[in-house]
Amino acid sequence: MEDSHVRKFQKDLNAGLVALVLLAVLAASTEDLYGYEIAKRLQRAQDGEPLFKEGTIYPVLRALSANGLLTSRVVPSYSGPPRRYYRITDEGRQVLVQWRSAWRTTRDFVDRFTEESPR
Amino acid sequence: MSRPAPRTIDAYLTLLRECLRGEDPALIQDALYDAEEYLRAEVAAHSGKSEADVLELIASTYGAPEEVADAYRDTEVKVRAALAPPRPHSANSGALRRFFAVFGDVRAYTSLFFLLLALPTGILYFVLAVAGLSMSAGLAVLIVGVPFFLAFIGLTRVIALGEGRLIEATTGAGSHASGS
Repeated sequence: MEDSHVRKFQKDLNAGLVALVLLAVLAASTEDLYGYEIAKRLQRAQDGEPLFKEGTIYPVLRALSANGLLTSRVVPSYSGPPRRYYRITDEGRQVLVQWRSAWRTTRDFVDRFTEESPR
Repeated sequence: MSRPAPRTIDAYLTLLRECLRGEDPALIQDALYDAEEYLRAEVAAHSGKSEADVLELIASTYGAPEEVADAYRDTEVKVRAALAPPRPHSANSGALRRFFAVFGDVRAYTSLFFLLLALPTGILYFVLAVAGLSMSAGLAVLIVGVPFFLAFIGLTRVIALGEGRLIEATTGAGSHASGS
């Protein structure tokens, strides 16, 4: 089944990249964001088939928060359960700089081997 | 995959809970809480559609309960491994020392503090609840009773939330007490 290979590969790729994207989104945002808002922002940026299910960003947000890269606060909402708003910490910003350069290096390295050069 | 897709938010949450059976209670709570936030927001955002129609598309946006459960499980395992090195459990210390180890546990004292705090906060909540309820009932004959009751209910939600944070902070329950 070809499709399942693609899905498995995409899942492996996403493992670290979702965290990087979330950190970058929160670093670029001037206000605190909650899960649903972030999910919709990412969805809007991507046409066609989404690269990851929106449900998978929530556990990553919690993990980043537990590691001290984000802080969160809970605000009661009348339209449903209380919302958890996230904000990037100073440590998170420092980590983001390192992650970014790690990502660039990796991307360039991978490109060098996988790009089909015209012969 | 053999199971029918959930048609309501409650059905989705029940399925998710089933998929996570046996996991850490804090993880299950987190997962259900996140899913409910998303699902309610999604239903509210598509006010023209019925709940069942919105839920039909959920598997392709938020993810099916099985997928979401896997995501939490994977992340939890990774975070656990990174965050919580196994406690140095000195096996050679005697049974007596292990018995008295609770004296050295900081969490025991913060829990004790929480229990002592329970009386004044309990009195405060009870007084607020009785006063709020009776005033709402009393003022119901006038128009002001309705907004008053609304404000009172809103206040109870804020208090409940605050109490939850207090428990997390003093007893270490919940997974978000750490972080700083």
